[in-house]
Amino acid sequence: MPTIAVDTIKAQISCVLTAWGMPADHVATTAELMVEADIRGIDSHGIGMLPQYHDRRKDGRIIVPGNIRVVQDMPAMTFIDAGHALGHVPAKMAMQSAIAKAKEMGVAISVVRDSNHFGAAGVYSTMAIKEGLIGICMTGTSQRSIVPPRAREPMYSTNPIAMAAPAQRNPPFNLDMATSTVAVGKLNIYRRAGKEMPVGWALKPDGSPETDAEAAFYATPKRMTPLGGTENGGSHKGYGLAIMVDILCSVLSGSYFGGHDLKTGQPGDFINVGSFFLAIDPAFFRGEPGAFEADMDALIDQMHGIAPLDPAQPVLVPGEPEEAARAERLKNGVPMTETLYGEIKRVAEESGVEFLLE
Amino acid sequence: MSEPTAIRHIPGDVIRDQIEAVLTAWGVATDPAATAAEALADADLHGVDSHGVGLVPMYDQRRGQGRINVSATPKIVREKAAVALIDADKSLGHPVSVQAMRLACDKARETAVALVGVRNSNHFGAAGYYSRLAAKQGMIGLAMTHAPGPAIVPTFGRDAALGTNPIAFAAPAKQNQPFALDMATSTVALNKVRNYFRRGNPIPEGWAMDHEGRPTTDPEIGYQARRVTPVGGTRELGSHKGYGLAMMVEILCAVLTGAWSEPGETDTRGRPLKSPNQTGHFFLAIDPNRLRDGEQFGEDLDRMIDMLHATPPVDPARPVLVAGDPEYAMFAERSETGVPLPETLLNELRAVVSRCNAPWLMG
Repeated sequence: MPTIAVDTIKAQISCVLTAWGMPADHVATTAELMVEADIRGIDSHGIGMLPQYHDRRKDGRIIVPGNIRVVQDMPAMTFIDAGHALGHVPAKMAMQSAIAKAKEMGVAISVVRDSNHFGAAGVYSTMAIKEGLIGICMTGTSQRSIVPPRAREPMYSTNPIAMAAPAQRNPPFNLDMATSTVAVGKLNIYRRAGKEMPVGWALKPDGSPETDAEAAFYATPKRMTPLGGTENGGSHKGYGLAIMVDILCSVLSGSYFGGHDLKTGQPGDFINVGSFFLAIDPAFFRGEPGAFEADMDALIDQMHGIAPLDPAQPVLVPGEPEEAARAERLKNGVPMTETLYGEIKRVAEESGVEFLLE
Repeated sequence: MSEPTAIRHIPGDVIRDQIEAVLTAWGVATDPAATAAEALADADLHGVDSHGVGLVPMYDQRRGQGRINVSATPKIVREKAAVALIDADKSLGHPVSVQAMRLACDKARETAVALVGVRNSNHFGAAGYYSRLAAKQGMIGLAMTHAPGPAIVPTFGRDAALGTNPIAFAAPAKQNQPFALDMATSTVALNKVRNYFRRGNPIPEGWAMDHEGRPTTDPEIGYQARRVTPVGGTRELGSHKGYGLAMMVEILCAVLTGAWSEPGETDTRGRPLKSPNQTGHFFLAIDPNRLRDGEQFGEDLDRMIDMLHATPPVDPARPVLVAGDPEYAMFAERSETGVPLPETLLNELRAVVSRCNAPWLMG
């Protein structure tokens, strides 16, 4: 597996986006946020998304640059129409706006409508940390791949929730999770390894467990489970959380639900993804500077202090695997599968730019 | 294993009046007593048996220990247009939570979003009561609380460290009942493990751990060890997500409000000491009408709910549900039949009633 330096990945993304006609400042933002996902080890949401963005741009579902505009502006709320642009620029704008407003108001939300895939939700929630705030980010999705409990067909997708909060001594708390049991990438890993999947990851069309990774990965549509996996395991909770995400992202903004127009029940010409951003200023609640961060450290220390079941595997806090990946990948580069390597080469060729990963 | 106990059906308003009589006898003022009684009876009517009148004996105990201040006066510590922090003065959790969610709704009507934090509070019953309260006012409501008693074992850990830290979310539809999610961030509540123990049935894999933190299906060990898994159950099935959510709730309810540590108290290394008794809550309200015109939000939510209900089921006898459906069905049933209460609970309640010289209203 080739390992590519972070700067090279960023340069490759930048020249492709530039060739698509994206303005320089949007290119800088998008490349930065995409490569940040790769740095954190969220392989499914960095440069790995470029081929899909490329195809969606070609078939007109992503408009470059897109008419991104604020449609409503209140002291604690910003409503942004992304104009079918690629999702990163409107999402960054939304989170920055929520952060700025929360500093004044104590709390603020931003809602984005008619957008596209924006990469990893965690890159937006963690923007709040640098300002000493709590950040939350969620997004709807453009596909149907998760099957509600009792159902036979998928109705929505991985609907992620990301939440970040600053500490002092410790790295920040950084939760970034799909509300499904696993992501599609996990099926792919098991398929490549020829491993049987655990019961509770995916389903057959008749609703029984699918443990064949090959079949699960290539199924159209994919049939994966909500977090909880099975009814006994509490899959109604993962399902409930996912619909909460879609209410805050899709219904509140008037966007599509799992790629489907709620009014017609059908897919449309655009993907119309909606997203939700929340920022909270802990300083308002705690009154004294540093009190929140000190208690965050104490909470994180308590988790680290729990005796592990296996001494070789200590208890972690959300965000630590990403921090470890960052240290590793900034030093050694990002490992890339041959398949992705080939796909990026195709994107570079079709976009008429140099392939830089060689 | 005990014998199945006798069950009696008590009307919801009788339960409410009984709770109110007890709280009043304890010295709780009329308004907060009525509010708390209403919230608890509402849980019973909705089938959330773990969070209704069955909590009164525990509250009695905590009152005896001085953890619940019956003559408390909650105060707003700080307030701005879209935020407020309330100190509950160790009051019962329910009245201050109703106050907090109402305040969040009032503010959100002006500012589109509002957040009210509560610290120094107590058990507030079912989180879903407060999020549904917001939905009844046309608002999207999010209610959370941390629970100081450890129950959830973090992924890779041996011991419990977090409460079952629930998340409740509700949103108003136009035709349908509000979408109403109310979930513990553990795979199951502790009382569900207790039910398996009482019946002597093995507990499903992935629910609970033994005293060493190893998975167990033994109902007795599972019940006694008080160690449940985060949603997901095992690492392979995503328990790190349930653990992450439980920690998120802890941060938003306890760390944000200042309920996590005892003010000023630190350990030998100068770090804040975790408070065993303080409870903090988080209430967020969003006014959808500030984003969508007229009834668009409720209409779109109806379309989404209808679409989910229409999803082809595996078994036609078991249609696809939406969060809140089981509770609404239970509410309709119990409004007719009354709430089934086991004789064991009625006996415990009789003892509570006689200790405070309240009238016994449940026949």
